[in-house]
Amino acid sequence: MVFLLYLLINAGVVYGFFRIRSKQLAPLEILFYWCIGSMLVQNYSALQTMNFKSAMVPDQLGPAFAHLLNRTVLYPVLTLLFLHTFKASKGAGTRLICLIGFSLLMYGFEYLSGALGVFVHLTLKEWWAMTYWLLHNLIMVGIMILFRNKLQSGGAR
Amino acid sequence: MNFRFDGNEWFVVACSIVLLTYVWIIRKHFQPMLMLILWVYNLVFVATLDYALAATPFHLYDCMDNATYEPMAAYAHAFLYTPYSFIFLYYYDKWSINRNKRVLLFYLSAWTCIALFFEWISLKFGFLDYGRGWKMTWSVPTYPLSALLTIRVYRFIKDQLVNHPFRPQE
Repeated sequence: MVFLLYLLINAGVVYGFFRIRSKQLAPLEILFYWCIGSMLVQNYSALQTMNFKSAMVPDQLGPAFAHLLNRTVLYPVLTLLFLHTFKASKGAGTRLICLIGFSLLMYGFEYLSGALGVFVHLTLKEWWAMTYWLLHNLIMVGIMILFRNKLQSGGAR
Repeated sequence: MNFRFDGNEWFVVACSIVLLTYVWIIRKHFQPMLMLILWVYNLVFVATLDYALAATPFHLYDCMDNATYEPMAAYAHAFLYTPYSFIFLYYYDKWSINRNKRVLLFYLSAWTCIALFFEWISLKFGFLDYGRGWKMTWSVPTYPLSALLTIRVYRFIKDQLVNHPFRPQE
């Protein structure tokens, strides 16, 4: 049941992103940021569940597959939506609101997955999770700036 | 520290140095931007499969000394597996493997054999531990499938870099 719910949420977020007609991101950027977003989330999840034991994914098929879907699709696509919105925003104030808003949204999804028994916080403090998403989004903005500069130079240097 | 630096760690470091040296020699064949994107793609592909199969949801094998996420596992994702794909793609281009399906089939079979041999050595050195149920025969279909996906992504990146030069609308 929880897997079906997350299947719908993931499909909805993917549909929401790909139906945007005038995307701010080029196809290569979508591939690259998707990979980086997924890598950051998987490292965060692996460290919390396997090393620090501060969170856990229940050993049941539904939650475990829902978590697999979330770390490879949901969070990376939310990252793409964030970067698209961030790029489309004009002015520092709007961009700051976008950064904080998306960080809270992503934390909200993590909180929801905890409440539904998918990625359960044991000793992981809520503000750590919030800080993680803020840092995650800041890192992604930095990567986007560097990557765009590299692409604009033709990628030859 | 959740690991000891012993035989299996040295095995990973030694293999990665050999492979990275090989990639350094053939690096001119690839555009730097292509290398960067392909490197990240491969890293994430391997890490995703490893996390899913070794940890949640499947728990089928261990990588390195124990069931935790060790730094050397992350190192292997970045510097051990990824160079293979560059060597694979280098000869794929150099020998024009895509000229017919029979040649491609032979090339994929040869690489599957190389990958299985490396997997067997990895088991001997304790880099991988199949005590939790994974069978080496299950790996056989994963190599050609991964290779085909790598070719697909390689062509996509090349096409995007050559035919659709990126011009941001600032």
